[in-house]
Amino acid sequence: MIHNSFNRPGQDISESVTMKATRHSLPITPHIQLNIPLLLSLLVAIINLALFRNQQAQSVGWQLNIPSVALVLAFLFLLGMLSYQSVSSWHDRQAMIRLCTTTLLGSLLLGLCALLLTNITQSRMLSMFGIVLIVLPLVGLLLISLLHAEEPTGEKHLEALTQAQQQIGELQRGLAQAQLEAQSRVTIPPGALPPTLPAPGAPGNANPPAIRVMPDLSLVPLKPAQVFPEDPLTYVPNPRRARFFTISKTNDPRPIINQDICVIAPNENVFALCDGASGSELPRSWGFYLGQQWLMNGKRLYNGQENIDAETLALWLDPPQQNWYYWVANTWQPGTNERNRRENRPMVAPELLNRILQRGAAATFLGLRIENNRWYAAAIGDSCLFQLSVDEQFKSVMPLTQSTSFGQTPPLLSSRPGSDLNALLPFIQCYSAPYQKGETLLMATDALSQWLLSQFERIQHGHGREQDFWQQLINIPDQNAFADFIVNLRQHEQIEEDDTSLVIIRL
Amino acid sequence: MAMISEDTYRKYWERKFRGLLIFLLDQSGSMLQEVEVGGKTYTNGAIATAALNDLIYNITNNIQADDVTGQLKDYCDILVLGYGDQVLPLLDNGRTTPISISELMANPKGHTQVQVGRMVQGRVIQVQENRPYWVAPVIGSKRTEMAMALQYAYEAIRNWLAVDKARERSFPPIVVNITDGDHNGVGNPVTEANHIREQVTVDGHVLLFNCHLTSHGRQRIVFPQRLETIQKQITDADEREWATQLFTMSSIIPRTIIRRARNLYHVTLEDEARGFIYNASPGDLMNFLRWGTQPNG
Repeated sequence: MIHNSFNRPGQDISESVTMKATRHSLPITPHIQLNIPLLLSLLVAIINLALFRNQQAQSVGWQLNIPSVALVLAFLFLLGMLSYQSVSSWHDRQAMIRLCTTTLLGSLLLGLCALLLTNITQSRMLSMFGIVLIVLPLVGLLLISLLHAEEPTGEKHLEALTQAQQQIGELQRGLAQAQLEAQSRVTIPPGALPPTLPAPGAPGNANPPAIRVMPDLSLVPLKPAQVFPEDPLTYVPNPRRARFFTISKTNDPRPIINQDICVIAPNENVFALCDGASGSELPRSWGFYLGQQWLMNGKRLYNGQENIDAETLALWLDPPQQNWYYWVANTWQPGTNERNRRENRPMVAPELLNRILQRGAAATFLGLRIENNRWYAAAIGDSCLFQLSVDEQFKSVMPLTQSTSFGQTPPLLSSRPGSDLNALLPFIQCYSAPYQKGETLLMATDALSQWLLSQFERIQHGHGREQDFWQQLINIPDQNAFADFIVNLRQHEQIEEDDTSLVIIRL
Repeated sequence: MAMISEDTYRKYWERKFRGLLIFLLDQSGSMLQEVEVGGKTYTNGAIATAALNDLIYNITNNIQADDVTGQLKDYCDILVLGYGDQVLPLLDNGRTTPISISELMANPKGHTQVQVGRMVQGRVIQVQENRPYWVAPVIGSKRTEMAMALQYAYEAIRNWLAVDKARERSFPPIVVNITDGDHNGVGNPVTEANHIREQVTVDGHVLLFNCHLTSHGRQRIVFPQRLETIQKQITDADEREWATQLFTMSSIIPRTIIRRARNLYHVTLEDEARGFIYNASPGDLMNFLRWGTQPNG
């Protein structure tokens, strides 16, 4: 299993802080990031400490009063949060460094407060403690900066950004040239052909839209360049309570081969399952960015009430579209070329990169959020969500309800800005329903969903026991058992040969 | 020669286990007969050529870049042979050997304006598009050397399989013969067709499908299961004879393809249906090729 820094507690917060920072200026250093829960609890602790000191100065000895209880609670919370985050970030070096930095900063702050609040002549012990609390973090911070001097800095980001800008400029120039050539009916290489979809809102307009123009690069959230092992291409979630299983069409275990991608929030209350369209470019990473957007801003797409309009959808799709675009141009192409150079393979030529960016990626999408005893789901395409009762009886399914409704051309979300979203709106299905504790939700990609529905239809016609059927699925213990289960179905030609994924969520 | 496994027609087109598509295009004078499609008059030859160019365009347009290497997923080779007085390779390089789809993508014969349907604001709208083409109709021969063309296809498959051992494990090559049905030349097309279908990969026998175009027939027969269907429905004696011959030459559609067509394309296909279409639109042929071929990169 590959761990990814996106699936860590507190990560989504620090992520958004970084993004905000990048909108106006470049990040100071990527490993010093604010950890809001820790700093807040520390602040509460310091205020309480001050109050407590004030009370102690007036009375003698320990007294059970509000500041003292709050102080103890704040410290307990701080300790708990620290332990929880340490355990969660154990395998993630970057997250661990961020956590250490925050802790050291907090400790420094606490030491300063202790010194300020303590009368040195009265309590030498406490003053010494304060000094230690100041000196040790300073040493720690110094060590972290020395050890991670090679981490990407703001200047490197600036460099990457400039390079990206140049690259995009070149692409646009190349495209403009290609369009000019196309207009004058000169034969042009197919790689430089303009895209075939007409611009939105321009019916019958045969002039294709130009490659996406990025007006202001400073507005684009630029993530620290990810190394390939932690890339969206290889990301596999590793939930603790929920279970996620997947098997590729050809049973190849490499995640990169599998175009199904699942993204799960750290506290396992938000899930996204995307099925990348074969024939589109790099759909796995597109699915990843879509899923990430659902995790961070799912409520902006569907909060249980509003109907989605084309403008909302376009706004919502904008960040993942930009992320995908920049990832392809700035991470994927340089990374792939570096590897191709090492392995003596041909480079990814600019025309090919141009073709990939123009064609874009596409994927089906199923997003699920669990909140206040209700689930909220949004779906485009043919991955289905099944709700089962406490005694494993079928309760509901969305967005498709019959095994015959599956086809070869499901509606897809495209990474290409400007695709016809109005045409897509009727296919977006959003539902919300209450649940009881002990119920089960299943998220499955198309092949498995079709099989599940066909089996359920058989059961409704009196073949087999419903409870046994759902139980065999819910009780799949691990990935190997899931692979065996699906391979067996494939051998008996009961299920389509396709990448197949399942998420089991016990509520 | 490869031993066929029990479980046939399960492979996907991949770069390692490449696919091969051979098109045989009748270019005899009879293909100049005109037909009316959507209020306009075209020749059978022009329709067949347009369908073929459209197919090559779709195949090349859908090549994905590999996620790991960034190279195009070049999973298939194509050969187009025209037959009339003689058999001629129709792709631009003039070779009788199949050409990879990435090479085809980079080297079209030219570009032409075509009308295509585009989905805009939820409606299909006809737009002019500048598209590449690879095959131009060259028609007017007196004879129809179909048997010779099938022989060329046989040779091409044999040589193609010999190039790389891995190809013996590929999905079997597919030969699509587009004709107006009348063989008029040396040899016997049925015998040659048998030779083609006898060739195998581990995944099954080579598939030969026939698309029979006519200018007058109103009957439309798509993937019939029995010969009686043809004999009952086609009234013209000559046409019936040619259709019977082409039916016999055609492969039975593999079970895996039939299942996929039913499940994913909701096409009603009988078991043991033949890969033969009579008087059908080029769209039927395109659809068939779409469910018949499953690229996996």
